[in-house]
Amino acid sequence: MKVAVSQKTLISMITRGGSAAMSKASQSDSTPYAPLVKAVKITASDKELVVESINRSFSVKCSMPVSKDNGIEVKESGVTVVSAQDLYDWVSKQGNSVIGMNLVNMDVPEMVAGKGGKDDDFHKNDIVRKIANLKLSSKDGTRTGAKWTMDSYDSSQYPKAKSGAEILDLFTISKKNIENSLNSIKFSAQTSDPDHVYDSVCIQNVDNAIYMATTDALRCSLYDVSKFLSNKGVYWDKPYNEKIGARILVSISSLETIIDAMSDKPVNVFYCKDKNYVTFEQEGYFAYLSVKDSSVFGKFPNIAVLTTAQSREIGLVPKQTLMSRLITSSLVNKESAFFQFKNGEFKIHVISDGGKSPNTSTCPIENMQIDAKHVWGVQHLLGALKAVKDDNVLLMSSKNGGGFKIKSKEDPNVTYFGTTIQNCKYNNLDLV
Amino acid sequence: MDIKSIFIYGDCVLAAQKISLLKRKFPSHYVSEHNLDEEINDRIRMDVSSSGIASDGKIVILKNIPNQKAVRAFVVDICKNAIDGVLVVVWDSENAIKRDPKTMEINKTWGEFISEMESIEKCKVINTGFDFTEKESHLAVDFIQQKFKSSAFEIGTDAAMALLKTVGGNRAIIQSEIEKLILSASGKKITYEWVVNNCFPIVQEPVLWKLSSAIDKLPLVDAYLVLTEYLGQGVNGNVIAEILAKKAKWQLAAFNLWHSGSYWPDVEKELLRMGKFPSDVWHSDKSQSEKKAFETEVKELDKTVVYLKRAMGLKEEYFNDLLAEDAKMKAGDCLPLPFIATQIVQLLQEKLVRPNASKYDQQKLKLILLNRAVDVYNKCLESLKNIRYGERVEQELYLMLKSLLDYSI
Repeated sequence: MKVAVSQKTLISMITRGGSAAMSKASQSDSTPYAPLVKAVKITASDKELVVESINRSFSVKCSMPVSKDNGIEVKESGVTVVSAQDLYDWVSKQGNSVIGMNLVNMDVPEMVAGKGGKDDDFHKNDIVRKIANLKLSSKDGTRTGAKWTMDSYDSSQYPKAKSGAEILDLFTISKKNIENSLNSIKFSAQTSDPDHVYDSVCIQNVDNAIYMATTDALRCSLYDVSKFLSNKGVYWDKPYNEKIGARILVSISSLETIIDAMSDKPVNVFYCKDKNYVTFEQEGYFAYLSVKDSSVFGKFPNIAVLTTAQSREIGLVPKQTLMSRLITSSLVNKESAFFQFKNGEFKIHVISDGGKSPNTSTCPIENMQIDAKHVWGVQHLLGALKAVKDDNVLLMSSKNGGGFKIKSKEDPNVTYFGTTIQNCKYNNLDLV
Repeated sequence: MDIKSIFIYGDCVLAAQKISLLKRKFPSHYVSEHNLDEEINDRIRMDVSSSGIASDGKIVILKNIPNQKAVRAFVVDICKNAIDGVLVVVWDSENAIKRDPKTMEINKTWGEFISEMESIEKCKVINTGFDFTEKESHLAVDFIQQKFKSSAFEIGTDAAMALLKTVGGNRAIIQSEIEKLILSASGKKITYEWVVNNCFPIVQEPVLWKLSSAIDKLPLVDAYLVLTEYLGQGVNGNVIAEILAKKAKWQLAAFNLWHSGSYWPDVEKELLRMGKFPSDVWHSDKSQSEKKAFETEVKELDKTVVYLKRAMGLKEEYFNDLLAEDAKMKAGDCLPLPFIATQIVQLLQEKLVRPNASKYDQQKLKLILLNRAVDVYNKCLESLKNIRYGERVEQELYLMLKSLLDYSI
């Protein structure tokens, strides 16, 4: 393989196509196959240059046509598999230059990792083999540069993502919209869940509107992405069960990495039910993401319960002031507080099981519609307030249950919910 | 869910199984866990006070109860105020609640806590049980028989005792072993022999006697390989040497009894009684029932002392210190498991008596086999002595095996 690529093009392709190999999960892999998990595969043909990587959760592939405009020249086709991070680190230091990649095959391959042993074991699949050296060179405007050599592994050992039979259209969306939507709601998810339900984003059809939702079982954030979607597929027409509309669950951390690597062009999203994966396709970009089996989709709460629930407005509260009161309250009890709306006054009272004395705060409120008493999660409310961009927040409570609800006027597509807490310590409390 | 809270204590493995079953019973419920000795109460309070957002229900597991009054009070308060839609499971996962080994009772503080939990409305208290002690072997046998019965299997008392002796008194281990045996049993009736051959020994003595019975079945080279495997697993060479020396001793005792006129069934019974002090109990000419009665009579130290003074002429002053210290009778060197006596007798008959029965008349054969047993025993003692001095452990063990497994006369 002999390729010359502009540094700018190559670094962009490695960043995008090598994101699976450069992810935290891959970089911390310590199995015998770690060299392959951490590696990026570069395939050069006379038509295109492809950079791809794969780990246990997702794979990405970035391709670009061979052309002068793209800064890609392929003198000889070939395939190389090299360490993604090392390649990125070296290329990123070469500035505005042209990077040459020249693959030189070895006469006798070497064993790099895996079970050692007799020479007879060499051709077994449980050993990672180095079969070539990738000679790198850079030349910038001064016609000087650097040279380096990297180990190139056997590309036949490079894992491939499985492909399924029934691939269903989901929708088409822009990178900007899916990114904004996810960023608005991801704080409500758990950072990690052994079952990978509560650390996922649920995309669900509720009465023909498509929502993205995250929850940690005590609070929930919803984003209505319906108006951002085009080419909505027939998958959404068939409900998951009698109570829940069609839905999929996607890991947030993997989705974020995939979104980062996308270009600004529209992305088509597909779902393969029989092999449990979702694909994201753009011109020159393909990502494959394993998802949970649909049999566990039911574990995620049914967000239709929230979207259809009736709520009543309480009043308009200045965001920064309320946040300040909540932070003060969290000094006593980080978890829950008593919120009383009465006679035009808004009071917050906290009691702790940990021995600290109670604290009472007052907060301004305008247009108070109803008197109400609720116990809500302090962190839940704080998280929602940090996410909304409004200066004044309309506080609402659910008619059924009394959990809080916040809708943003700056972004009407997003809604935040928090559960009500039946803390017996606040029973029959009436703040004067 | 009518029950709002559950308190589980006792065997941790069995408790974990119950909790696992509970989670499977409510697959759509959100499950959260908290350590009572680590986490702040406010977080726990919040979690148990909210049934979750848009969810069918919730299970909150509070585990690792520390021995602190404040935490116990907190737990009681949580359970008393449990709300609809949340099932609170309080689990003594670290066995803070234990039985006093002397009184076999739970201590007063924890006892009161358990009573308080039992008095809470809609709170279910589950005791998965504690390890069976030696005094509770009848309860253990009942437990084993019930477990088999619940799977439509039948096991006799002897077989149940053999299982208990082999795996010990831990309930979870007993249950696990029973599940394994049920899977591999060919018929509905579990026999003594089948338990002996298929049970996986946990208690140290059965492990070693399993080695001993494995050696009996194998030719010398294979037996030596098994022995080296045990050595490789960390069993001390001295311990194995003692086992082999004891084998030689029991075989000598068996042939001595046979030579003295006992029939083989009686030899088995006598072997089981060997090592019970005073040895006069089984050395005497009394009948079996008389020996048993006599053995019961001299079981206590003071009665043994009276007997030794009367029958052996020992002076009282020799025992003054022992009686003053309230010393207890020390157990003699007995066969650890009852079925081993049967194994010894069967082995000797199979390997030595029957093959040579046609070559010699019985009296001559008895003498020849007794002499052989003495010879084997002496050789084993010599090797045991060398091993105790740390000399050529594997070689001496090989020599012991060689003399034991050489059945030619």
